[in-house]
Amino acid sequence: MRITQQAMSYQALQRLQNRLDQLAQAQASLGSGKRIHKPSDDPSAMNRSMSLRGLQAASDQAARNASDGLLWTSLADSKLQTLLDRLHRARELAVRSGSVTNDAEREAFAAELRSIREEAIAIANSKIGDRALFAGTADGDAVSADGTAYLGDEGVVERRVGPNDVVRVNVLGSEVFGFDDGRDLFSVLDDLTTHIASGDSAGVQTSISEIDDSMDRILSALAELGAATNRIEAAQRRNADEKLSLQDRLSQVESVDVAEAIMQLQLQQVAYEATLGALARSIQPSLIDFLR
Amino acid sequence: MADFLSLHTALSGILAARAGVETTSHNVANAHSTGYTRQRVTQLSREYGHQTSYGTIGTGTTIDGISRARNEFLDMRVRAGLGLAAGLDVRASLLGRVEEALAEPELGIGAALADTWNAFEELSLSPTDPAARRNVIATLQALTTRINTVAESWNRVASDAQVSIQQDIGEVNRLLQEVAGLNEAIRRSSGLATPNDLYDRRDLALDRLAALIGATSREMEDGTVKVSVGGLTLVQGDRASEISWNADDLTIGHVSGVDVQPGGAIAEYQRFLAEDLPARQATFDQFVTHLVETLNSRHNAGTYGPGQSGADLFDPAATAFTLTLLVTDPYELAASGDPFATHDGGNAASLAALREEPVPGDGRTLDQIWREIVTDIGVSARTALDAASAQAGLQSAAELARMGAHGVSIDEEMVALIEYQHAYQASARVMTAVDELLDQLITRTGLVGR
Repeated sequence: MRITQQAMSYQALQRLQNRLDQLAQAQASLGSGKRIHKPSDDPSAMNRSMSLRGLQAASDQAARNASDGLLWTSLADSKLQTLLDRLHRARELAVRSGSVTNDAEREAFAAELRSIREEAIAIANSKIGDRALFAGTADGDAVSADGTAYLGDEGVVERRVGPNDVVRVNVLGSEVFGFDDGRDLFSVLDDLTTHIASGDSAGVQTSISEIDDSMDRILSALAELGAATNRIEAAQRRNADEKLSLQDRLSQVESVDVAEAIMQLQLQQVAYEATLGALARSIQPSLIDFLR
Repeated sequence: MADFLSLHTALSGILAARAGVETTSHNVANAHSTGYTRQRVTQLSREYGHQTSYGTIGTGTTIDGISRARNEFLDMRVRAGLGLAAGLDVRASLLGRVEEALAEPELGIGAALADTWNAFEELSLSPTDPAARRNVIATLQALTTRINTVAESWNRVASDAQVSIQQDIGEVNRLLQEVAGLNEAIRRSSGLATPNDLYDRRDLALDRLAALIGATSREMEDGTVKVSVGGLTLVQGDRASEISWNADDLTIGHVSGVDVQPGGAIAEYQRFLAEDLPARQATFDQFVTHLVETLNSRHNAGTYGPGQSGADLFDPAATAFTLTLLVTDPYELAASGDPFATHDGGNAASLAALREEPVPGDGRTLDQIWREIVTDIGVSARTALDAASAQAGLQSAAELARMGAHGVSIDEEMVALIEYQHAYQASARVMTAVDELLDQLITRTGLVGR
C-alpha cells in the first residue's frame, strides 16, 4: 500500500487518541474505584447492582425494624417481670394474712396491697415513646386510672424483620391483665384487699387462686414475648450475615479490582509512552534530511 | 535542418521538465491541504516525426495534460462508510445522553424508590411520629422530582436533536448549492484545461454530504455529478433542489412533494425523534402509571386522623413529565389500616410491601419494571457505542487507503523533483551540444586556403 505523510500522521494521531482514551479509562476506574458508572458500561451488571442495592435498602430497614421490635419485647418483658414480682408479694401477703389476728396488722397488709395495685396500674399503663405498651394500637392509657376498665383495642403491632418474616411484638392488656376472662387483675387485688381488711379467710383463699390465674396469664405472655425476642434475634443474626454477603456481591459487581486496575494503568501508560516514542521516530525523517 | 530540429527537441524536454517541477511544487505546497489529490504531468513523446529517406526521427516530448490521482472506487467506499459512521456516532451520543439523564445507579429513580419503601416502613414503626411522616413526604417529593427531571432531560435531548437536524439540513442545502455551482464551473472549463482543484473542492463537498445525509453521486459524461439521496435526485447539472425539515411530522420535504429518505447523521436524528425516544417515553410513562395506580390504591385503602380515608397521593392522569405529589400535608398520610386505631401502621407497612409485591396486571414489582427500563436503555446505548467504534475502525481503514492513494508523499515528490531537475539539466546539455555542433559548422567550416 502506498503510504503518505498525511496518512501516517492521521494514523498516528488516531492511535495516540485510542491510547489516551484507554489511559483515561484506566485512570477513571482506579480513581473512582467503580467498574460501572452508567448503565451502558455493563448493562447486566447494572441490573444486578440495582437489584442488590434494593435488597440492601430492604435489609437495612429490616435491621431497624428488628431493633425497634426488640425495644418493644424487652420493655414489655421487664415490665411484666416487675409485675410478676409484685404479684408474688401480694400472694405472700395473702398467705400470711391467715395467721394475723390484730386489725392494725391487717390494715398494714391492706395498705401494702393497695400500693401494689397502684403500682400494677402504673405498669399496665407503661409507655413506649408516645404510646401505651399494652393498649394495642389505641391512643392514650391501656387501663383506666381506677383500674376498672381496659381502654385499648385489639390492635396487633408487627415488625418485618426479614424477607417474609413478620413478628408480632406486642401483647394486649386485655389478655395479660385478664379483662377478656372477666376477672381482671385489678379487681382481684381490690377484692383481696377487702377480704384481708375484713378478715374473710375464705374470700382470701379464692383471691389467692385468682392471683395464681393472673400470674399464669402473665407467664404465658412472657413466654410469647420470649419467643418473639428469640425470633427477632435470630433474624438480626441472619440479617447481619446477609448484609455482609450483599456488600460482597455488590462490590464484586461494581468495584474495581485495585491490583488489576493499577496493573492496567501501568500497562496503558507504558503503551502510551511507546506510541509517543514510535510517533516521534517515524514522523520526523523524510528524504529531505538526506538530500544535500 | 536536422540540427535546428534538435534544438527544438531539447526545448520540449526543458519545457516538460519545467512543468514537472511546477506541478511537484504545487503538490508539496498542498501536502497537507484537506481533500487535495496529488497531480502528475502526463508526458508523451511527440507524435509528429521528421520524415527522412531512412526513416522517421522523433521530435521530442509533449505535455498531454496534468492528471489527478483519483480513485472513484475508494471514494465510493469511503462515502458509504462516512454515512454509516456519522449516523452511528449520532445515535451513540443521543442514547448516551438518554442514559446519562437516568443518573443510575446512585442518584436515580431506583434509589429514590428504595428510599420511599424505607420511609413508609419507618412510618409503620411509629405512625404518629411527625418526623417519620415528614420524611415520607420528603422522599415522595424526591421521587417525583427525579421522575420529572428524567422526563425533562429527555425532552431537552429531543429539542437539541431538533436544532441539530435543522442545522444539518441547512448545511446540506448550502453544500448542494456548492456542488451545483462547481458542476457548472467544471462543465464550462472542460476541454480547455482540466480544473483539477475544482474537482477536489467538489469531492470534499460530496464527502460531507455523504456523512450528513448519506448522499450518493454519479459522474456524468459532461463532467458534472448527479447527487441523489434515497433515490431522489437533489443536484443535476447546475441545478440543486432545496430540502426542508418539518419539525411537526418529523419528515424531510422536497419540492417534488416526496419525502426524502435520508441516510447518515440526519437519518439517525430523525429515527431518534420518531422512534427511539417516543418508545422509551411510552415505557417510562407506563412505569409512572403503574407507580401512580398502585400507590394511590394502597393509600386510598388506609386512613388518617379519626377515620378519614387516604386521598390520591399522585394525580391519576399524570405522565412522567406532569407527575405531582397531591398529598403534601404529613398529617394526611394514611398510615393506618384500622380507621380508629391511632397508632396502627398497617397501611404504611402495606405501602412499604410494594417493594416486593408485583404490580397487578403486570407481574413485576415496580423496582423490577424500572430496572428493566434502565437495563434496556443501557443495552441499546452499549450496542450503539460498540457499533460506532467498530464502524470508526473500518472507516479509518478506508480513509487511510484513500489517503494513501490520493495524498502527497513528500519522499515521492522529492524523487520526482530530482528526476525533473536531471531531465532539465540533460536537455540543457543537449542544447549546448547542438550549439557546439552549429558553431563547428558556422565558424570553422569553409576556411580552407584562408
